[in-house]
Amino acid sequence: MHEFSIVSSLFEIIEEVARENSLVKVYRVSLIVGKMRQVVPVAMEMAFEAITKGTIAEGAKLQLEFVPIKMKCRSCDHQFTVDEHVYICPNCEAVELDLVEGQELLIKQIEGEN
Amino acid sequence: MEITVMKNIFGANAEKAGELRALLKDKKVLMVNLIGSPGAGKTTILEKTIEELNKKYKVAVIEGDVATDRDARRLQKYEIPITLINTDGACHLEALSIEQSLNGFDLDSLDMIFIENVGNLVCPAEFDIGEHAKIAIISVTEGDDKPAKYPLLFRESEAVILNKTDLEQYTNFNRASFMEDVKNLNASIPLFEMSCTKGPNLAPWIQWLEKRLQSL
Repeated sequence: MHEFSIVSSLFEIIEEVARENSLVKVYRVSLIVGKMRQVVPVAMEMAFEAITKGTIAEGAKLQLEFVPIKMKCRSCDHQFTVDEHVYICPNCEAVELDLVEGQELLIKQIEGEN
Repeated sequence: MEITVMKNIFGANAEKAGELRALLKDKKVLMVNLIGSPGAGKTTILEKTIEELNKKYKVAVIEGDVATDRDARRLQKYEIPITLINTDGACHLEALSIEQSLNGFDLDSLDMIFIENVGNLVCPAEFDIGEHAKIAIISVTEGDDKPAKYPLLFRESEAVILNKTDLEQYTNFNRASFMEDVKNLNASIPLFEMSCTKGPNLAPWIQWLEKRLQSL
């Protein structure tokens, strides 16, 4: 249940942003989540509901935007999306790869009223 | 109103972890983060490792436990610096609690610090706690499907320890499938096979640690 840890940290940022922008109500929070993070949407929603209860973010919509895991081969520069957890270049079969995207865990936007 | 934030959710933790890693590198202290399921043999491997390293190096341990000091007490006999972090139910350690533990050590006198993370394959892989290397510890009794089920841990780790190999004959552990999954996830990762009860075959693991310390 790492979703609870994620939402706890997320909520701290929501509170900070709300303070800076004098928000009295938060309607929507959107996140960018890399597939490598193994985030389970239902668990995220449960955690979000529990943690925001009785706060300005209670009832807010939580939107998750998933980013596929993309790697770049160090040998041939080929970029590919990782499926089924295979981290081998499909072009030249090299295994020395660099992560291009897919490990993100960002808070993108907050929509609210001030 | 719509506010664009674009902020890393674990940003504060990542920043602190980066600071700790740099501090330890400066002090020439290698910090290793041991991650595995409950019962995989993390504490036993740590005991054997300390016995071996104690001959030559100054070692300290940070014990992460959800509750109790049992693991920490098991290590008291070695008379090395040990700090215990009880997470009070939390499933992983974070950089801030590691910083507090490090404050209790005399870093100038140490060579290596081992962190025994909370028994769990998901959350500890997620959190950078300032270590130089994460190590995945898996035992054959857990099944060969663990790399496929917990890919982040095997991507993030610098080495894998496969423990309890003496029990392999009594299980349906499919070694070929395990090896293939590990290779697919992290082809160049070294694998150390151990059987802590039958004689752990520590030499390759100890050599790897020494090399890693030198490369700081």
